[in-house]
Amino acid sequence: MSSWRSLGSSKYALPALIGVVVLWILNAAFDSAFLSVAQWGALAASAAPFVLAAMAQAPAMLSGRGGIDLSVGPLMGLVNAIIMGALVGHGTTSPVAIIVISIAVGVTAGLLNGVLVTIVRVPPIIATLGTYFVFSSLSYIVLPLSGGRAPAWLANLGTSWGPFPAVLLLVLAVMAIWLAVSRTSYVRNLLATGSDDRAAYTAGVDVTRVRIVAYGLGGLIAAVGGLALTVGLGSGDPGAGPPYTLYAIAGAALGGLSLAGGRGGLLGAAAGGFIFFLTQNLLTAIHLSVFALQIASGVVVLVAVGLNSAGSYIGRSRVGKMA
Amino acid sequence: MPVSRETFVSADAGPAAVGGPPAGAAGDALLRVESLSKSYGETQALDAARLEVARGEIHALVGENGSGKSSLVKVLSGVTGQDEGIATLDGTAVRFRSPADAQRAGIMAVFQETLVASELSVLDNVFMGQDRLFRRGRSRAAEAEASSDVLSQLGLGDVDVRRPMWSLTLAQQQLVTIARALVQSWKLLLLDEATSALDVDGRDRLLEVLREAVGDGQRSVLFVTHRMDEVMQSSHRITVLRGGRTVGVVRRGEVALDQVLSMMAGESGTAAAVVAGGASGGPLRVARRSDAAAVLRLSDVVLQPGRVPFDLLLPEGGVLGVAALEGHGQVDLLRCVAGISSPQSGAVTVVRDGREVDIHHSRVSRHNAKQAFRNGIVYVPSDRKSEGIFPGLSVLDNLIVPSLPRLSRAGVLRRRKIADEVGDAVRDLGVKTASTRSKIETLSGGNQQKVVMGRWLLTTPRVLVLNDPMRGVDPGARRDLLELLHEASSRGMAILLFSTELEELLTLCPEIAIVRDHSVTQVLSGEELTLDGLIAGMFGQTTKTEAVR
Repeated sequence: MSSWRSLGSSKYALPALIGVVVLWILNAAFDSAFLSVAQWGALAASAAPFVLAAMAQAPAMLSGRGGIDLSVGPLMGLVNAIIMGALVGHGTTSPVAIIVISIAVGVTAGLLNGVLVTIVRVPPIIATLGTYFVFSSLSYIVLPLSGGRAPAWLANLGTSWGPFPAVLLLVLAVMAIWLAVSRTSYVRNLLATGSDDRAAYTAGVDVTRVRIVAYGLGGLIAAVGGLALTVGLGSGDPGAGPPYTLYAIAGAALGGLSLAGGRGGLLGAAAGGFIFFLTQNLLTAIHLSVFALQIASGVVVLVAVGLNSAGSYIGRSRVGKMA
Repeated sequence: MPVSRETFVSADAGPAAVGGPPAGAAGDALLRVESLSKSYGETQALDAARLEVARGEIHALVGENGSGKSSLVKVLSGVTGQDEGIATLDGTAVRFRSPADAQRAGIMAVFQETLVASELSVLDNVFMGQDRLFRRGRSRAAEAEASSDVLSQLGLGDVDVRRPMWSLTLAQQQLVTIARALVQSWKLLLLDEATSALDVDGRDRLLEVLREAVGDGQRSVLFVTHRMDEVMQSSHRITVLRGGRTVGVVRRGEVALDQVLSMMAGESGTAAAVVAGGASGGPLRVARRSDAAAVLRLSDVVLQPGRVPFDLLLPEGGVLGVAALEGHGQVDLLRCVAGISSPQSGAVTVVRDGREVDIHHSRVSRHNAKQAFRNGIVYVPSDRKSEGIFPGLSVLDNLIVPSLPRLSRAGVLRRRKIADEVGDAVRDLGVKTASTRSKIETLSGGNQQKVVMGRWLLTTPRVLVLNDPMRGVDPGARRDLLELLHEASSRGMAILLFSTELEELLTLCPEIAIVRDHSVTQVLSGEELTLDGLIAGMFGQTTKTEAVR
């Protein structure tokens, strides 16, 4: 009941959650890994970056006024490059150091996006396109060549602990942070700002700070995504991050988030990111050609988002007439 | 509507408020504003305006469009800053940097636009903005309790507060924005035309709530409205603004409505003088065309459920004025004629080649607007900035957009024909511009409006529907525009003109329909066309003239 009130409704995520279940069953039919609990660890390790990338995209999108974060992918890549190039490469393998520095990098980068969008007033798509290039390039400076071996504790997250895929810890950690934030007034401020920033401003919401925090939060989640990327790769790759930007946007859209802001949440984004992964996996499992794969993914995104927006339009006009 | 004194018995008996000293006296003023100035670019919105609101007072702020009412509210609520001047609240000088800042000082504002987060619940909308970034203003339980009181006072007791905001009607949404202010601990409540979406019942209930609130003799309400009946009914004192200056402060009951109106207008001339010339330079009335063929016919039209049906008829080359107080459904009427929105029932037909075409044949309103346009009905909206001009485009481009099919051959623009027609139009319209290639926003407001009107005249419409076309247009250009319309009608174009400037209606229209409570209550013509007659009709005093139906 209480989440119903503060987050509007999580009903928006229902189609995405159903999609996850359906795709899971389809995948199980074609990919034996889905049936073997022992392989869930590895499976989850390749899925986690998709899920976390979409979650990292969510706060910026929810904040409205064209809110979007194109730098999510490169930021994940930059965190991977820093872990492998600047830390592990120089002998620092301690979990505390790696986690703290990754998060610090992510939050700083996110806040930079937030300041560019709000105080410098660069439109989000341009501001984060700028940092997309910066973070992509920085990755190559920090780690010119792929390689290295992830520290044992990190690689270990790519396995299963009994039936539990260890990398899920990262996703759950982000969920826990989001739930904690939801218990404060922040999410209401965020959704109010995203829904109509002039209404929020005149009602007394500090929309500038709300947006800066949203991008900072996105950076934090992207940093966790960078950790998950490192788990999945088991090494460093300066070019691994950027593609995740587009997966993240697709995932957030699949998860029922409104690109106009104000509607959605992290649960939907996570489900959407997972759907995107499951689709790719399924198409690979049925041996679709690599070239056709992207076409099929694109069609899935267009159909799903098209149905979603048409559905909400119809539902709304009906209720509107009743009122 | 006659002013009833009885309604104020309780407030009159209250503390200093109504019996208090007039502006200038110290002591019981809650808010005092002195020589407040604010300009936007070259426009001086406020020019050393004064205002004093006593404790326990309901104070009305009135003035014509562009008189600075909204700017004053924006400054007092922290939405914009002032250039000069001092505001003191409770004896302390205040200068707000944001709405949140003003709220901390105890000033709440509600605006005409329903500023809501439509995806959030009603409850979240009521308490929006009361939290810090992370810290809640109050617990959920406290929120539920505080809101249920206020919402039921406003008549929203039956609405489930968990419903999403978009599922409410516009009037309900507006009440929620008012509840948002009322649940907080306020000293001064600013209502900037915040009752425009409410019906009579909702307004009465709100007034009751406000009277009770100021009854403690500490809190005050400052409200801005175009509905003069509301002003005369509910305010203790009235401050009149004109051209950004305070031109008077009067006590309700001491002056009559028409005195307030003439303070707003700034002319003490009678209606006759206005019609006979005065500022507008002589009447331009076209003859009444009772013999001409009808071009537009409204029959049994009901604009809102439960309102009185009415008929209207517009002959070829006729000019029909529409006069109404704000919020009486006049815009609905215009939009129905233009096919943009649909009436509840009844028919809007346009006569073309002897056949009657129903504009609202389609259930999709988008198609109806197209249908209306195809049959020669053109609608010119009132908000020039957002709905009229294409900023960034040249005068030429702004003029020819809807005429492009006629001005091109096989998709290729006929440059010479365009240059000729635009050259003629700019000359005929008297548009003052360096070149037809100049960007439209380099022109003055009046010249922009001429371009917007010229654009539609170039399409040679059969019916021109105008929604308050003179808003924000300087007097010289007004005269030009009126002459333009006069000439167009003499060429056979029919005009349906709504204007908030009664003087203009009287200058141009041989017939004026009074819209009141979402229905046409009277159509005045001939001798009946006086300022007094119009005002009486708009306020529902139908003594002399017979109702249409």
